Amino acid sequence: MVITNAKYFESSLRPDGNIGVRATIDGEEMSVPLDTNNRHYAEILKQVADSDITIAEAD
Amino acid sequence: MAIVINGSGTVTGLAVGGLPDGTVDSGTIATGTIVDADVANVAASKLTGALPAIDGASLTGINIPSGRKNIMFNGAMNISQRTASTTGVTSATYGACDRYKLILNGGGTFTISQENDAPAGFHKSLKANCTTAQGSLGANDYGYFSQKIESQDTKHLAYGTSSAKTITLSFWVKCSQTGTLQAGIVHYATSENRHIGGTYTINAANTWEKKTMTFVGDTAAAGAGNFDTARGFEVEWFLISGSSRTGGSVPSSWGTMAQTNRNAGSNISIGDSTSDTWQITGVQLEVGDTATDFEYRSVGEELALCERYYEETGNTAEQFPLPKTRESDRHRISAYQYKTTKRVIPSITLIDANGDGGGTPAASGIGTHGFRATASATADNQSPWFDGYKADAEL
Repeated sequence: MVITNAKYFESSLRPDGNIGVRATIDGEEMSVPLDTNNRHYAEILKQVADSDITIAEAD
Repeated sequence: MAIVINGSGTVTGLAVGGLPDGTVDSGTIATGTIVDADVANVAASKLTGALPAIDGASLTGINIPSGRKNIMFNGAMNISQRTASTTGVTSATYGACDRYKLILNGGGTFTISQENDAPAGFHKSLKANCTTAQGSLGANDYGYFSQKIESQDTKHLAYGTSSAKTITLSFWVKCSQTGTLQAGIVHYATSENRHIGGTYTINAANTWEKKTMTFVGDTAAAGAGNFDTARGFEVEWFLISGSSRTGGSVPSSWGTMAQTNRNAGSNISIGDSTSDTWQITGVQLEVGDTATDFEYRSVGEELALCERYYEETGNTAEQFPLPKTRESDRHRISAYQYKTTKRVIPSITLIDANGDGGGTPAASGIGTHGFRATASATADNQSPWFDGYKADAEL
């Protein structure tokens, strides 16, 4: 998976901490939940652990 | 003159030659004179005539499978929500038919497509067509098609117990080369990854052939699964690999997965020539040691099964507008329910999201049943929208 532009996001209704990561994954902009059972989030964590990507803080 | 023998004495000295034809008929055999013991060992080859009609109530010990038997999804390759064709594939990609992923690490460049070419009784097939050959195959290069089965959908196989069931994989395949390839199953068990596999032979190039492979159940304690929403089985068909996946032996019984066994026994490579093609359809994995007739499902039924893992609405202009819902800060909010509940919380892609001059809609509040989209408008007359969505909860 090619992952770029990873950035946490908070709820737009009641911002109270990160609820997901927005990233471009294999060319598609995705909203990815913070759930390790989600294959995209699992891969994001792996690439972060491998120091291949970083996740920017939410706005 | 006929010889009549009465009584219960023994007659000896008769030449072996049997009775003449027609001497034993229903009139000769008195009712009740042939008992069970007399016909206990009639060879099947002797039953050449028309059998009498036997009432079903008289039959015992016949295990007729009921309910759904095919563990695989989209075996007839009828569903392709993402696209019918993906070109230039060089890495792991769900490129055509739902639930089938081409996993590549080196091994050439492929086009993956859903084709209308299929054996009698089928309409579609999944095809891999090498477009750039892998000139020099590295030891760790590989390519294979894979479908992962949710762990909880394998519980009825009783793996990890003495009752573990034998299973049979059957499929139709069409390949541009003749030779041998390997197909197998990886079981992501609780304590380790287990593996079994076998080889199948392409006897004639570019011809549909049906292949059947039977695998014994995994009775070892290490074969017990987690039975949750994570991956359980991975059924795989290797196309090409370097020595790191061919250097072992064909894993004909369950054991700890060794990478060197995963494509052992193959003698052809699909991906070392631009003329290479490999197609498959009619995939069925079922309990038992026999490949029974393919379990046909309606397109609608199969689509709903696939949507547990991936759902895509298609792309219709402005189909999902975001209404005014919180005017104090011009938030535009709308909630959407998936057509099918997802395996786990999916990743969401909004197709052609447009803010109409304000903030671009984005997915939030994502769950297994639905999600919401929100956008921050900057003027009262802005009506943001998106044209569709993709929800990906694949394994």
